[in-house]
Amino acid sequence: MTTLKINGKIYEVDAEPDTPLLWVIRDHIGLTGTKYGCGIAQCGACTVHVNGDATRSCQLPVQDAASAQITTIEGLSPDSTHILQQLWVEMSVPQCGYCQSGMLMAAAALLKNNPKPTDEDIDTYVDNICRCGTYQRIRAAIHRAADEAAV
Amino acid sequence: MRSANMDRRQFIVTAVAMGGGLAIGLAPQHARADAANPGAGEVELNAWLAITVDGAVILRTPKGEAGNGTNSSMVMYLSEELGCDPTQVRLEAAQVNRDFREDGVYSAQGGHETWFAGRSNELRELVQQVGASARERLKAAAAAQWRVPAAELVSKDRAILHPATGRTLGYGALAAAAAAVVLTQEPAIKTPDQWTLLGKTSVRQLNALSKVNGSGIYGIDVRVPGMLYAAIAHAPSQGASLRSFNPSAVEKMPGVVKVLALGTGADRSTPATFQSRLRHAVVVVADHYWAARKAIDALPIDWDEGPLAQASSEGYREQYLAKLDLPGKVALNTGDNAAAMQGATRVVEAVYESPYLEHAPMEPLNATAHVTADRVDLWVSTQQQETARRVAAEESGLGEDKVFLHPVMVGGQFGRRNHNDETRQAVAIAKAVGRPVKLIWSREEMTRQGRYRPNAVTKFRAALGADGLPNAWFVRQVSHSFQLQQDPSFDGFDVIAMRPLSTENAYMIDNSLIEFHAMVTNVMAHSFRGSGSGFQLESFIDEIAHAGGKDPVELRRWLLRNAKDPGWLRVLNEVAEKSEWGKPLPRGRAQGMAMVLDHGNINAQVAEVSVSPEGVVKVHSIDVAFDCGHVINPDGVRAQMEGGILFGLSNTLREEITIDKGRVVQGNFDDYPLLRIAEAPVVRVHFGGNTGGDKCEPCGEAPVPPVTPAVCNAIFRATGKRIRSFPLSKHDLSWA
Repeated sequence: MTTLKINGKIYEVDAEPDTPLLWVIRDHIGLTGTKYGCGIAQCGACTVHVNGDATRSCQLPVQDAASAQITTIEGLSPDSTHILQQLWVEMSVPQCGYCQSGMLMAAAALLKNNPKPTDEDIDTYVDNICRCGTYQRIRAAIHRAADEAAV
Repeated sequence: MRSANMDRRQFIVTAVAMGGGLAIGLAPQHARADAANPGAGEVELNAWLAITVDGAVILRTPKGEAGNGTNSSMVMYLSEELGCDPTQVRLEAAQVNRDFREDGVYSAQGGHETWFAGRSNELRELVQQVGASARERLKAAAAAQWRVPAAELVSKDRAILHPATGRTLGYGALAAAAAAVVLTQEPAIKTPDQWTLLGKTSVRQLNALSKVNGSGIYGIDVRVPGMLYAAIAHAPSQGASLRSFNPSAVEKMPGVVKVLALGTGADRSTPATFQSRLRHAVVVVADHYWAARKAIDALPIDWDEGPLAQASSEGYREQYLAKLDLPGKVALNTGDNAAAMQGATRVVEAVYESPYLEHAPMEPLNATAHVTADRVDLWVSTQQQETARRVAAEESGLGEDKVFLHPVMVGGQFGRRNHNDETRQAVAIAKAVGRPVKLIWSREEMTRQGRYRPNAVTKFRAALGADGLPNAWFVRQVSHSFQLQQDPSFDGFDVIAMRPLSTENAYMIDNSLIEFHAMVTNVMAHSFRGSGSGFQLESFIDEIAHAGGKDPVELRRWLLRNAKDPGWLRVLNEVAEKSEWGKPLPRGRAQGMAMVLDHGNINAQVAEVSVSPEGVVKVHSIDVAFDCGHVINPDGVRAQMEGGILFGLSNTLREEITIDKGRVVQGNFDDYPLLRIAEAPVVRVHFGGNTGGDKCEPCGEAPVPPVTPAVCNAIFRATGKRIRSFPLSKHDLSWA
């Protein structure tokens, strides 16, 4: 049994130690907001926060996550009130939406560490794949979140 | 344009006060597919529209939800006529089961694209009619109650008002009476000049919140009591068969429940030589997905690679090039091409190649099925629910009236999610294990078992006169033909492969000779967002311009000089003006343009690109202008233009599917790399090209084809290197 702390709650899971955290979150615990896109940490759809750091959970064995504070998209805010979530809706960022959990988690971690990111910072830290092509609005929303927080 | 069905539309009025109980024992998400149509407290005016006793307006849509704006448009069509705010409309999934049981209550009215989730324009007039009819029924009900003429009444904010006396009644109070009204004459729907909402307001996706807080349920997220998970290994090459596999090697791995060879029934949309993926795949079923995935990866499987085991991209390329020297099927032959070529001042000749591409939606194919003796419950991210129902019925052996499809969100489609192979597989597996099963294709299976954008090799030759203008041209294209693939006896003209070379092309070039060869290979091709021959056409037009000393925009103005549709010149002028075409740029940086007609939408783009002396490409911006007639949802259209352009740019930069030893080489995003934010250009969308009239065309696909030629034409202007094949990653673009 592995003990996990996710979004402030404790979970006991019976999963093989090498099971990627992604699949434990989705299948054992039932938090399906974190997505599978590639399984090789290329696309970022599986991004969660591990001790505050954006982490691709498809490549993190659950045994290595046992002592960490994990936040998933469901825990990013109590009621969808994170500034990025609000701006994503207001600025009509998502299309199919499948990549956006991971995208928001990457963007949120960036803003937490760096309240005024440059375009290069966004390029580096929010490099998740979006097949629908919503990048222009993602970039605009991150900049606006930074501007509004600064006011 | 009013469709021929208008006169035959009979809106079946049913007044049902209460109905549709929850079936005992099923999880709540089963309930909507099962309910005897209206839920409790809903009054149906017809199968498309219900009103609750609280006055909520429910539109039942046959369009799956993939975030492409299709359902926003559906809500807007209704709201324009009903007189309500679009945000006041509740969207629910129409039931494909009900459509079957009630003799096509949706598809008979909507036509054969009713259930296709890629666009909604074919349903616009119908849904407007639904709204207009409902409005008049509600007014009639209020008029009867107030004893005033219906003509004095107004519908607004989900209520009927009588301005003269200030009386109002909410829809909820009127619904039952309205449902009983039979209009002596159905009202006319509003024409575009009467629109107050369509094209004037932008409407956000109604379910945007579910996409930012993790609550949205995609097919891959479905959880059903007692569910098992399945992972799959398909036969790796077409025509391959399963020789043997060794279940004992993995059966004892934790969580593994069953290891089986798939062996589904034949699929009618899959040609005989490609049935191997359905008949010879191997599946592991386990209590969690990772257990299944780990086991299938460890399972020893012996494949007989089959008769196409030596197929390769190089081999097919040789076959295609050999065909280029042979006369093909004639698509167009005007004037005297041979004589014109003889008399040319200058002849321009080139051969172009375009690759296989994979759709790569972020959500891999998956399906969840529960099969019992008398029903199939199905959850699948599909863009064709009718096909899903038929396939599930075929595979289960039950009638289509026993198949219940539960709505889920779709994580990208682009043409990949029509066929429902995953549905057939999930049903077969669920039957085999006697429990609900969720089948997930890995990303590797997605990449290798695709139905790709068709590839092609194209020879062009143009004759230029002394004035530098083309007076003849010859095109011979060798394409993977989807139609030949599906039907070996096909001997016709493959429109999909050839557009816009000989169709959907308004260029007036005399003495045109256009020929075609249809090919098949050992991979399948099928629908792909924006697929066609725009790259080669618009690149060669640029070559003609350069050879004749003409500006590319000026040449197109001349080529379109007699075009009947004013949209061509209007769009061309809009994009040239808005992009500041011809503005001075430093060395190594240049503009390139292209324009393509796709699905009724004329789309023109100017790309501004720089290439470093070492050959690194940077696309700075793309200006796009278009003519779809009338825009419905302006910001929705903007989003589709932005997204389609980035999709096309991703195709251009690094994407290519190749074949070696019978197998697809690529597997995941490390060797099939997609565009990321760092390389995304600024996209500027310009609406001035729209001509209105009676056109109202979809906008999702048209922005894709012009991207590749616009970028490649810019690269030529910046470096002097003409790009005749893509992706760009194949080329050394260094210059100095």
